[in-house]
Amino acid sequence: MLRGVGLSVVGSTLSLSACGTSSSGDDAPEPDPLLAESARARADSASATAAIAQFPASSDTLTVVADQRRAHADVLDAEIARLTPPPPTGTTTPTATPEPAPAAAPTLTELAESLSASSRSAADLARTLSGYRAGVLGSVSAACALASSAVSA
Amino acid sequence: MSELGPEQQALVDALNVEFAAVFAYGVVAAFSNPTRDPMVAQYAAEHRARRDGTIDALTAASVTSPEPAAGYTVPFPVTDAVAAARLAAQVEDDCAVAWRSVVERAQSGATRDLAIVALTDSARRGSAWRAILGIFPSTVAFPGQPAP
Repeated sequence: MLRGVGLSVVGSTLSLSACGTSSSGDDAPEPDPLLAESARARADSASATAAIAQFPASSDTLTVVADQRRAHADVLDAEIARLTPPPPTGTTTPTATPEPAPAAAPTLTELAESLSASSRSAADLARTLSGYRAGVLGSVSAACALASSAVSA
Repeated sequence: MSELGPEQQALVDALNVEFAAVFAYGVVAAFSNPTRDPMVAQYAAEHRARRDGTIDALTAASVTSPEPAAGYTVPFPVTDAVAAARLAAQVEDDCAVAWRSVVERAQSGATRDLAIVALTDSARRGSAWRAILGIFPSTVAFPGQPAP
C-alpha cells in the first residue's frame, strides 16, 4: 500500500517535470536517475567476479558481493523499466544493460573503495527520492557498506 | 492528540521497535556467551543512543514520544547462548525493517539520511550475529526489505 502511494507520487512528479521541460513538443524525459546506480551495481558485480581468480582465499565473500550487486542491478532495472513509458509492444527489457567486463581484476582495496563509493552514491540519491525508490536505495546503500567491510576484512 | 504526518508516524514506529530492541538486548545480555559481553554491551548502547536520538528528532518536530511498554514478549524462549544470538539477529532484522520504512516514508532528506545510517547499523549488527550463528552468507542483498 505504502509502496503504491510512494510510486504514484514519484510517477506524477516525473511526468510533471517531463511536461515542463519538453516545451518544443517532443517527449524527451530526463534519464532515470536509477540508471547510474544500476550501472554501478553491474560494474561492482563484474569487478567482484573478476577478483575471484586473483584472490581465491576470498572467493566466498567475493561471490556473495557479486551476487548481491547483480541483484541490486536487476531490481533497479525492474524499477526503471516500470516507470519508463513502454516502447512499442513486444520488447521486454530494453533498459537492461549488459554485464561490463573490466579490463583487469581490481585489488581488494580497490573493490572495497568502489563498494564504499557505491554506498555513498546510493544514499545521496535516496536523499532526493521518496517511497519505494528511496527505500530500495537505502537498502542498497546499507548492503554496499557491509560488502565493502567484508571485502576489506 | 494531533494527527501525525507520515514521517513522524514512521519515526514513532521505529522508536517503538528500538524500545523493544533495548529490552531484548537485556535478555541477550543475560543469556549470551560471556565472551561476547563487550559486543553485547556495545550493541545495546548503540540501540539506546538510537532510541534517544529518535526521541530528540520527534521532540524537535513537536511530537510527544510514546513511552516504552511495561514489558515485551520475545518471539521464542531464550534459555541459552544460541537462542540469545538468534534473538539478537531477529531484533536487528526488525530494526532494519523499521528504519527502511522510515527511509520510504520520510519527507525530508535529513530524515532519510538518518534512517539510512540506522538501517546500515542494524544490518551490520545483524550480520555479526548471523556470522556468530554460522549462517552464510551473513548478509542479505536488501537489508530491511520486508519479506514479500
